[in-house]
Amino acid sequence: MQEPDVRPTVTGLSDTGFDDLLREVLNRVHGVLDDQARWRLLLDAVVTMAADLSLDGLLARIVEIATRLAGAEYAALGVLGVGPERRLRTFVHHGMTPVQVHEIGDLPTGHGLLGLIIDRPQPLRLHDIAQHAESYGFPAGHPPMSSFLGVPVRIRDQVFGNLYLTEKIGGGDFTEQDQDIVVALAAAAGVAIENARLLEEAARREKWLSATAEITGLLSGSTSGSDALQAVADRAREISGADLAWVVAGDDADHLALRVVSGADIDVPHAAATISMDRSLARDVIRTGAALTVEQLSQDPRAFSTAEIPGWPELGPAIIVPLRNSSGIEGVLALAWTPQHIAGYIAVDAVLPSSFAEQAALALQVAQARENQQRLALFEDRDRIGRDLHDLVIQRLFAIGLSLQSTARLTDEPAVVDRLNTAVDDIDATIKDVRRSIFALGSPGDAADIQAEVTRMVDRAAGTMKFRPSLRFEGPVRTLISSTVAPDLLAVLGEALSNASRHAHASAVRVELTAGADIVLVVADDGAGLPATVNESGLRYMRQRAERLGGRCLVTSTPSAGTRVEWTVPAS
Amino acid sequence: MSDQLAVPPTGEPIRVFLLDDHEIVRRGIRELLEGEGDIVVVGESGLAEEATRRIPALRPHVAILDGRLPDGSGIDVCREVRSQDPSIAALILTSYDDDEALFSAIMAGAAGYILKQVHGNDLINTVRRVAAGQSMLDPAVTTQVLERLRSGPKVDPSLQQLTAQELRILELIGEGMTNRQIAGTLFLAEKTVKNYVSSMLAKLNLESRTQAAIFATKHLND
Repeated sequence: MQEPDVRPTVTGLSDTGFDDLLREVLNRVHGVLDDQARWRLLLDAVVTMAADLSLDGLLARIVEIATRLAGAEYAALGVLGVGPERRLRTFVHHGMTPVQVHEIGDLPTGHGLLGLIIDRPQPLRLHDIAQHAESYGFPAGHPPMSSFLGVPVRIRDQVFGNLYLTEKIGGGDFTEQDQDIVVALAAAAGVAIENARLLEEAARREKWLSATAEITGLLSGSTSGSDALQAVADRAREISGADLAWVVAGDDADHLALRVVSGADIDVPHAAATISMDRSLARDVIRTGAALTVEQLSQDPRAFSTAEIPGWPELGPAIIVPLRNSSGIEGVLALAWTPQHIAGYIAVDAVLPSSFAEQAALALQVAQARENQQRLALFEDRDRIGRDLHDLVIQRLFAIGLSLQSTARLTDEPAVVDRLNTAVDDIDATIKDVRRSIFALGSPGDAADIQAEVTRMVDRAAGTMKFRPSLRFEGPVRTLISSTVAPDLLAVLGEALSNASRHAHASAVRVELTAGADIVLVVADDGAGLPATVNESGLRYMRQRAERLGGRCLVTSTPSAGTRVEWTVPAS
Repeated sequence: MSDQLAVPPTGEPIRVFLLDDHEIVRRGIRELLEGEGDIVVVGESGLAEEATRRIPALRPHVAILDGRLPDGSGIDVCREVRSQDPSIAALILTSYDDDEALFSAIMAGAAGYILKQVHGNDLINTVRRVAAGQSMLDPAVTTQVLERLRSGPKVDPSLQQLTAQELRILELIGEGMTNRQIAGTLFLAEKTVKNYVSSMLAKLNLESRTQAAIFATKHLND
C-alpha cells in the first residue's frame, strides 16, 4: 500500500519525505513570499511538524500553527471517517476554552457547512458563516463566528480531512494570502500526517508480528490446553489495546463454547455453561470463514447474550477473526473495545489480528498434535511392555511351574514335594503380580471398572500405611461384579483398609477379591487385632451393606494375630 | 486331585491336542497331562493354520488352544474346528486375566478357559470335565458378558463400532453356536460368518488398549 520511498523508517523520512515536504511547501509559498514573517513561521512549523511523529500530537500542532499563520481566533482539523457516509470521525480544535468546549458538548461530525468541503474538497472562504445556504447554525453555548476559511488536507490524492479556520483576528475576512498559506500548510501537513500514520502503522504491525512469533514460540514449549488459548487471548488483547478478548471454540459450529477470556474477571466455566452459542457471531465467522467487525457489539442481535454473565462489560466495536488450522476453523478470537475506547478499534487493521489468529491456530494445532503423539507413544509403549510380559515372562514362568509340578510326581519324598509345591505357588503368585502390573499399564488413568477402582484404592492406602498391601484378583471380577454391588464393595474396602492402617499397627495387609458364584472380598492384616474401642459403627455398616445385598460379613480378630474381614455377597 | 472325576464312560484314554507357540509350555502341559496315565496328547502345534488342518483329522476329545498365536488366534481356530466337528471340546489357554479369558472362550465357542497358572486352575480336572461333555462356562455369566458388551462400560469405545449384524452374530456366539450353525440361522454363507467373526475380534481386540487410548486422547481436550 505504500511506495518504497516512503517506507516508514526514521532514516527514510529524513532522507526523502522531508525533501518532498520542503519542495512542496516552497511551491505553495510562492504566492505569499512578500510576507517574510509568515513564510519563516511556516517553515519553522514544517520542521517542528516533521519532528513530532505521534499522529495525535501532530494534528494538534497543525491546528495550532494554522491559527497563527492565518491570524484566526479558532481552528480545527476534521478527520474524515471511512465508509460511505464520509463524515468526520475526529475533530481536533484550538482556540476555545475548556468551559466553552464543555458547554457545546458533542463535537461536530461534518454536517452543514463542514460537510460542504467534505463533499466538494476545495478551499472555501466566507464573510459570514451564518449567511451561507448550507449553514445549520451553531449549537447553544457556541461562541459567535462569522469569517471562515476551509481547506482540504490531502494525503496524495485522497482527502484526509479539512482544516477549518474562523474569526479572523482584528475583524475582517480571511485574505487570498491567508488562503494560500493555509493551503501550503495543508500540503505540508498531509505529508507529515502520512509519515506519522505509516510510522504508527509500522509500529503496530511490528508489534503484531513479534506477538505472532512469540506465541509460536510459547506454544512450542510445554504450554498446553487452555493455558495456550489464554496466552493467545492475552497477547492479542495487549497488542490491539482491546478492553476484552476471548476465544470461542468447539469441534464444529454446533458445539461451541466460551473457552478463555482476557481483560475481565469472568468465571469462564460458569459463563460457558450459561451462554448459548446457538446464536453467535462466532458461529457466523466459523461458517463463512471470514473475519467480522461490528460497531455496537452489546446491541448486536447476532451476538451471544452476555447479560447473564457477571463482570462482562458493555462493549462497542469488536473484531472477530477465525482460528483456522489445517483441518478447518475450530474457533474464533474476538477483540472488543468499550464505547469510550473506540479510537483503539479504529487504529486496528483487522488484517493483523487475522493473521495473528491464523498463526496462533496453527501453533495450537501443532502443540496439540505433539501432545497427542506423546501420549499415544506412551500408550503404545505400555501396550508393547504388556505384550512382552504376557508373551515372554508369563509363558516362561508358567512353563517352569508346570515342569516343577511334573518333577514333584517323580519323587515320593514328602519334603521335596512340599518344597516344589511351595515354589510352584510362588511362581503362580508372581504370575498374578505380573498380570496385575499389565492391567495397571494398560488401563487408562480414568478407567471406571471395578478392578481399576480397587487397585487405585489399595494404592492410595499404600501411601498412608508406609507399605504396600498385597492385592489379588481371582475370577472374572470385571464381568461378575455388577454396578449394584460395586459401590458397597468399594465402601467396605475403604473402611477395612482404614481400620487396618489406623488401629492395627500391621506390617502386612492382604486384599483379595474373588468373583465366582459369590463375590468375596477379604482384607486381612497381621496387626494387633481389633481394640475394644474400635469404631463399632464402621463394622456395623459393613455388615449392613452385605445383608442388604443378601450376603454376610465376617470379622475375625485375634489379639496380636491380626484382623480378617471377609465380606461375601451373591454375584447376581 | 486326579481322582475327583471319572474318566469318560468309554474307558478309553482322553485324547488331547495342544496348540501353543511356546514349545516349553506345550512340553509342560504334556508332562502334566500324560503323568495321569489316562490322558494322551495326540498332537501338538505352534501355528494356527497347521492346527486348523490337523485337529479335525486327529479328532481329539479336547483341544487346548492358546488364544494368541503368531499366525492368528486360537479363537478363530476353535470356531473353524468346531464348525467342522462340534464334538471336539475346546479350552482356550490364555496368559490374560479371567475377564478377558472368559470373553475369549465365549467368542471361540469353547467349553472353558485355562489361565496360565499352575495351581490356580485344575487343568486335569478341567480337561476331564470338558472331555465328558460338560461346559465350564456358566450360561448366566455368558449372558452377563454379552450384556456388558451391549450396554457395557462406556470406557470401551470399541463396542460402539459393532454393526447390527455383528451384534446379532455376537448373540448367537453367546448361545454357543458354531459358525456353521450361525450361517444356517441367519441364512448366510459360512465364509461370511467367519469374516464377520474375524472383523469383530479385530474390533473388540481386548489385548490392545491402544485404541482406547487414542479415543481417550481425542476427547481429553474438549
